[in-house]
Amino acid sequence: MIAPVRRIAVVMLFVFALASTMPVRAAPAGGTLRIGIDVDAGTLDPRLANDTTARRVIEQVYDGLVELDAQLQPRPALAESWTQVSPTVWVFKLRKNVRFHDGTPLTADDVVFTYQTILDPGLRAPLRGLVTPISKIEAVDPETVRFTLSAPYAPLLKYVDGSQAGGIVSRRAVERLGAEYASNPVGTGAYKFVSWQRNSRILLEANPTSWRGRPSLNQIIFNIIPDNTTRAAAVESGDVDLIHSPLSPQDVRRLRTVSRVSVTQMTGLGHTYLNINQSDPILRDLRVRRALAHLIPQATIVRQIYQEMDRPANSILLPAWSGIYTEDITQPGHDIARAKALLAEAGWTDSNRDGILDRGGQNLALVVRTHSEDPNRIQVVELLISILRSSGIDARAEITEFPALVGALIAGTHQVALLGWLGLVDPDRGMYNQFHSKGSQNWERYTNPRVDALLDEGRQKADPQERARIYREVARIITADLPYYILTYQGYIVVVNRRVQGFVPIPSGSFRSLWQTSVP
Amino acid sequence: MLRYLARRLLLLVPVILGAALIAFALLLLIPGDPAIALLGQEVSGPELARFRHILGLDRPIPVQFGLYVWRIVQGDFGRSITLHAPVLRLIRSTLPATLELAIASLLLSISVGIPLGLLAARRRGGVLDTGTMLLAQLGVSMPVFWLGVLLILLFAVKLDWLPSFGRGPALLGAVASGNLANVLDSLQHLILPAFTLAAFNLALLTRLTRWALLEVLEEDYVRTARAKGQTERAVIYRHALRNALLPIITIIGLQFGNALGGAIVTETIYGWPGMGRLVVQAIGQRDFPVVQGAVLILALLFSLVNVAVDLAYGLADPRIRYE
Repeated sequence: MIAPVRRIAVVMLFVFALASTMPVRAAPAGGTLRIGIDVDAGTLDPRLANDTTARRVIEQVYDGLVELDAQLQPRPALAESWTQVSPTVWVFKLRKNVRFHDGTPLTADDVVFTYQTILDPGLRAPLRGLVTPISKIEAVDPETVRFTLSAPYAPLLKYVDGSQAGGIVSRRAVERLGAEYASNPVGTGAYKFVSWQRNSRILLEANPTSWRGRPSLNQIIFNIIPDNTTRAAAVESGDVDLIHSPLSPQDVRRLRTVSRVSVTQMTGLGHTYLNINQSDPILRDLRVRRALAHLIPQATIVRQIYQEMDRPANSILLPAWSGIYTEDITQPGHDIARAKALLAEAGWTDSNRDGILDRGGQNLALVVRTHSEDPNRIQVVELLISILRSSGIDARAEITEFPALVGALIAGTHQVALLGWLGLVDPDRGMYNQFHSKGSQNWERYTNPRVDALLDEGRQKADPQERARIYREVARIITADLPYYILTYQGYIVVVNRRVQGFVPIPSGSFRSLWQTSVP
Repeated sequence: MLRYLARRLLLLVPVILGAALIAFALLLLIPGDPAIALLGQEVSGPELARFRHILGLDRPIPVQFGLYVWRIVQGDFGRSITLHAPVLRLIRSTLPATLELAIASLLLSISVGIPLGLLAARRRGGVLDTGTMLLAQLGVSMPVFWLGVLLILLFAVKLDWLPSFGRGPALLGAVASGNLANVLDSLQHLILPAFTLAAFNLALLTRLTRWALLEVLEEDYVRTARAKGQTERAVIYRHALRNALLPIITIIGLQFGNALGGAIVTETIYGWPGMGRLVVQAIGQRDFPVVQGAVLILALLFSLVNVAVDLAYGLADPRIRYE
């Protein structure tokens, strides 16, 4: 038996030892962060997530094998290292002693299970298409996973990021909870799931045993506030600490004058574009597509409608793709005279003097579609319609809800549609499925053997210079052929209360830096 | 009376079935597909076909409807396509918020609207009457979303008296637990959305009460009551108001239905976690099971309120008999 004094001394020593190992940063452990977000999550199962809120929550609760930094370069996450054994074989070495929130250890088996279920069509994983080149995935030992690909696939590392397709789920929890796993997520992330009130809030708390170390915040509350203006008012009045895009330009202008908050604006990972159907009898003619591009008052739209929140786009290449983006590739500029000349060249003239261009007894009629959820896009379409009309085109707008618009695009019944892409972490993500003749989202029915060959080559080349050459050439061809006209590079805006410390906005919209954010 | 009630309740069955059929048919008429909403832009043609098959959307429409009714009869409302949860659970978690908001707004419009209308009628042509009617005109013509934003900017941002969004603890639960802080928190969150939702009904009820009372005050029996030497107070409250109540009760019944439906806009502006938002989202994403389940529940509620209104007539006017 130990004497009382000695017992106290031992305890004291233990406490000191413990205190000295604690990181200094964790000292002012801190507080609750209240986030205002626009939509409720559909599911918190990372394999099924299909909305931005779900991804923002999931990247706190889960980790991927890797994670992308602000420059979109992969950093170790659950995988502490990886090697490409051959062009089609990747081996990931898992971090040791990582535990899920329910206390069970992470093993290679969980990684294999995650990817096998994503690849299983029965699960209905929305981002399944990103990982279909994986032909085999196996656990070499409890800490090693091997991916075998059907062909070389350069963007693989970008897609196994936790906020893309790759949050690793706990096999045991999924099998235990079944369908309920979607609302009771169990991951390895810096924050643990606590509760979810539909359409109201999602509550997370710090995971003190996270492999990253103890996060600075005690709690994160995601408040679901669908109205853009209310969300802006909530951060202005201090009811929430952080909001981000989508925001309306008018609210952003007001928030810039509020001393309590700071507004950060950057170019995001998305663009807004016109999808131009190549199989349409009128738009099949390149001269008509070029005329259409010349008629678009891009600068006016960015200034008046987006109030400079978005930037005018040069090409399909995003500024965030460093090493690949270049300002040298540009689309046809605003030039009404040139547009009219092109239309005349294509045989469209006002032969019957009714104010509408015609050819062979047929009027030049165009329907421009967009979806009703985005008021800015509706305004753009209305402006376009009035400009097309004043240039003698019988133009009409068709505004429907998003599922109806995408339905028409898949069926190929559209002529011109205004919509956007988000989360383009890699040129492959922004071009392959969109422009490859076998691409799953080639709604504009674009076929160009040269583009197909380049896009296939881009997937196989890991060398950055080679990739730059390939994707710049694709961008040049797209600019000339105009299956897409890229209207704007979408801006990304974050409004943060000045009390919040350590939050680093990332163009992808990721809240990854929340594990080191604090609210004293 | 009991037989009447039983018959009315039995009549609800075809009404609800009709509502289910209409909800089902309308969703088929609008273009768009739940499979697209689920998969988003990542969708491809063959994948879409496979999903439609999994969801049973490729079956003949009468078969789909038959299966749907059969499941409902068994108490199975199905699972949400996009929210990955049982429809009944989604409704159970959002309906109380909507009911709280709708009932609060209704109580507000009754407790303010009827007295204001009475006052205006008694001071007919006076400053008070003109002022009240001007306000009421404003109330019926002001768009809900605009009023909502205005109130948030004034009371949450400028004055910082009230929270800008969301719902506090459930009011009934807070009252039952006797926790005063929770009750206060709940009321603080409730007041702006309830007033926003009530504004139109309140204004309408004020105008209606004034009109109904003025109408009744012209009747012979009112003159008789006055001739008997009764006080103006007694004339209005004992004789006139009771008769004026009939159209008012009708409107209140309808207003409750409107409040349930109109809550959608208010819920969106204030981030109120109610069923209205659930339904709007579900319509936007073509989440058929959620829309159908919610329409059924709303139709049931609305019908029950109508039965209650019919019974209330009898309370207001003893001459009404239920056969």
